Amino acid sequence: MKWTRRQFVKANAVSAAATVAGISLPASATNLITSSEDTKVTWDKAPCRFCGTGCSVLVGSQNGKVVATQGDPESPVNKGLNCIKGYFLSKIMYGKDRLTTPLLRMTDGKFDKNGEFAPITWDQAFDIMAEKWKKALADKGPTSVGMFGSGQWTVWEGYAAAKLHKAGFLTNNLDPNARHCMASAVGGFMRTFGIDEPMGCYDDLEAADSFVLWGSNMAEMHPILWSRLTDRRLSAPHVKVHVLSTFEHRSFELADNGMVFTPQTDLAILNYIAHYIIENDKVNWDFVNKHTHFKRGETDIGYGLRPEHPLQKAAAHPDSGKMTDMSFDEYREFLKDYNLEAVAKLSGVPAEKLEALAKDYADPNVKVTSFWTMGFNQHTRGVWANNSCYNIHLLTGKISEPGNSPFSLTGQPSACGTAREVGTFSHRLPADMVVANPKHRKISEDIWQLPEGAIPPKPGYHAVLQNRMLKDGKLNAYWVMCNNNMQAAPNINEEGLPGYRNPENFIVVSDPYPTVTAQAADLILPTAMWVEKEGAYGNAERRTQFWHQQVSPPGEAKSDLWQMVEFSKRFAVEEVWPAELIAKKPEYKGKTLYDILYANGEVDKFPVEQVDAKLNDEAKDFGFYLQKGLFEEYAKFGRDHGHDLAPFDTYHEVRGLRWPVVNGEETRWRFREGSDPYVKAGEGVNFYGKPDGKAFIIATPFEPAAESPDEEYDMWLSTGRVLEHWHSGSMTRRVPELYRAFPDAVLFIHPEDAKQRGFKRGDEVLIQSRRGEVKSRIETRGRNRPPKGLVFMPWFDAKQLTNKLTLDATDPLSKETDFKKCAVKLVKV
Amino acid sequence: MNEEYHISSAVVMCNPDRITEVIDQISGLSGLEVHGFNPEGKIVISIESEMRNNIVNTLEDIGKLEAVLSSNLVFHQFEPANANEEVS
Repeated sequence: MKWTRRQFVKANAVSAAATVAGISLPASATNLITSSEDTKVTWDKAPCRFCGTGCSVLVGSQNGKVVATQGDPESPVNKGLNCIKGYFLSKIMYGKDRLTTPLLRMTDGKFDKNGEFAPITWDQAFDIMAEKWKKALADKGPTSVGMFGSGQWTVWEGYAAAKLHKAGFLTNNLDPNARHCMASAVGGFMRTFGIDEPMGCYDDLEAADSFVLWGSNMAEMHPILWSRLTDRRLSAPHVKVHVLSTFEHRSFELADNGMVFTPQTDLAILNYIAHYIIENDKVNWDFVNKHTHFKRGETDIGYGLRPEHPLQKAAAHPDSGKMTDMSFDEYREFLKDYNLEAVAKLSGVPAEKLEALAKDYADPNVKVTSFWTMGFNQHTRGVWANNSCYNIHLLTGKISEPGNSPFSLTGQPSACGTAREVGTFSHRLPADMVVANPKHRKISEDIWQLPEGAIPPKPGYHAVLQNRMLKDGKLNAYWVMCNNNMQAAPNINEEGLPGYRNPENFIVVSDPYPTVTAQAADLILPTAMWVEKEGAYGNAERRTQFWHQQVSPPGEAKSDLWQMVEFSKRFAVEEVWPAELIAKKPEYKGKTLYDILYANGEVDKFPVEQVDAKLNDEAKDFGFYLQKGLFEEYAKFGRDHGHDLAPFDTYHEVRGLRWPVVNGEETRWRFREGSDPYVKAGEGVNFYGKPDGKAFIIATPFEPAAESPDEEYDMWLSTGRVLEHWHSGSMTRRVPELYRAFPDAVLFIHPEDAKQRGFKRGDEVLIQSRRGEVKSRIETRGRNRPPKGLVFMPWFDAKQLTNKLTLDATDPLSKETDFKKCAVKLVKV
Repeated sequence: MNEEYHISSAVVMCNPDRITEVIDQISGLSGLEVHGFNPEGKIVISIESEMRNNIVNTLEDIGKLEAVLSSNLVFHQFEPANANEEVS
């Protein structure tokens, strides 16, 4: 029998899909595989570069280039499947405009903020950066330098950045783009449980009887988890799916109970469910008495705007996260306002639909998993929304066991593993510790071998504040790495762009591609991405996954890790630290930040020979196994403190492990005896993030959005995503197939709203807010169907910057922007 | 000139009651072959194409079908269009 190469590849492809689906094919089809000689392609594993699901992908490389990808059949997360973005991963590194050399704005061979970008060497790039950083430090001190980092950084990149800033430059002005996406989730976890990240895991998908999507379009944004949910729904007919959103989207196609609510009224719906549970005597008293406290949260807390903004001035308790004790009876009384009739009216959701939802939560025999993403988090009351959802699960005891799971999904591949866990937020240190706590600073100073008092106690500038401080000229030397904030951050006309172009500031952007952000910079550094470096990501279910470097980066591109560690060599400690601090550790005299932070006897203790891969550019350049050294030093923070990570080498062998990993065993359901090693025998449940092991049920009310439609700006604008593109599209728009599948952003609108304004499908339209305007095209059909009065626009398109329209109102507690609600009007072009 | 030949496979999940209808509908799509299915509503397909964007368009067309709940790719490889020699 003769076979062509194409037939072999096809047989391989079909066999892989059949394995994934659990379908056996006729022998003739499967036999092909055994005789296949797929000789030239080398396969290795890597987690996907995109969302927080954490799918594992088999990456095939050939002649130094990635040529094929396959869903990893051994992965417990995606079980061999890939979504359309993951499927085209092999192409994200090969966009035509990939950056291969540092570029500086110059005129006549010298730096000029108004000059044109011209190529320079890495040495020249670090020369000008060091000059600008040293000048800012000398003139204004450590608060004038800072960095905006990423939930797409590898674990060691985030850790190296935290050290460089908090331990090196002695500034807390480090914040990740995860501030835009997960900060409210973090705030919710810390307030309710005192420890970050979901207690459950993806195994809940096969165990739940009822799923509730709160502000999450899983069908498009987490397609692999959606396919597992779909599988569960179809294979177990009793399973129900409830979907809540401010507009209809693809996840509604599977919904048994789809609900479109008026923006911001999710807060009221959450309280109604708690009200229903209590009034129908469905409280799990044994659980509530043993494991919870009732708290009243401070109200009227403002909108995280500049202090002089009228809304901020009008707030009675701006930015207050204060909580006071309350009794169950007081909580019950508080919830009386949120009865079915009142909430149905406020939210616009029919009463019977709300009741059907509440019944599933209340029924002790129905296991409920709640999923949420940006609908809850990008919300001026995002922390409250998170807390209120936990209230429901705590009142019924539906938590920390298979299928009963309040689950905060993640948008970035390592928002959990890097941004949250290693402490890249402006107020945080590794392993959930905070800079404001003297004990936490002491622990960090000990592990980092720093003199006492090195880490500044005051939180630094968070994401939105960084842009404000750039504009105000207080933050002057600024490095943006592994994100596209000029396309992501809110209100770019009034804050971001004036900040970057402020003549007092020097802006550096590291990226593989010339993004909107890179083009607004003064210096662009070319970056090695994904499998061009060794990496580690941590997904939404606490799973830490590693990969090896599999190909070399193009030209002079270098990993973020290399860039930061190399830059640290440019600073003598005397140029950065005050003399009193050095006097406490005289052996540091004459050393560089590189010696103190990275070549410190810990990070450099593993030799290059331990690298078990053909490529590791960083180990080769620095002369030691840098990634392993950083990981093992970082892991000291969490081991024996509820955040245990396995030994470094283990992760290269397994398909990830969910922390805490104790005695080689991962943890699937935290806080539950028998599953979580931190819960002692006989305790049953222990929310050990809190000193007495009890979680908080926190009462907070409905409060209106920062900006709602009025006579002039008469529509809600919600921004968001589409299946084909990931976030700002800097990678997916460079994959020809994905670009062509959804080339330009459109404005999804109700057909009657369009007609009333004289628009037809495909018409060009000008969208205006109080802050700016953007042109797009009208879409009245397709995957998203907004109700009257609301328009939806995805933000992936660099030619249609939705963040010219959005308001920089944030949750006052989490400092995360509300990208889902502002007021706009539509004008004919 | 783009001389690539793309081969991919995918698992389509649909409402089990309407699986034969879905198989009928997708079998007519260009480059698409159905290789097997099961009663839970899963269908194994392959898609072959010379045009680079056909695979995405084909999946999008499948996704638009009313009874289809999800469609996810499993395998993808692209080959130079002339590399189709006999190998055994």
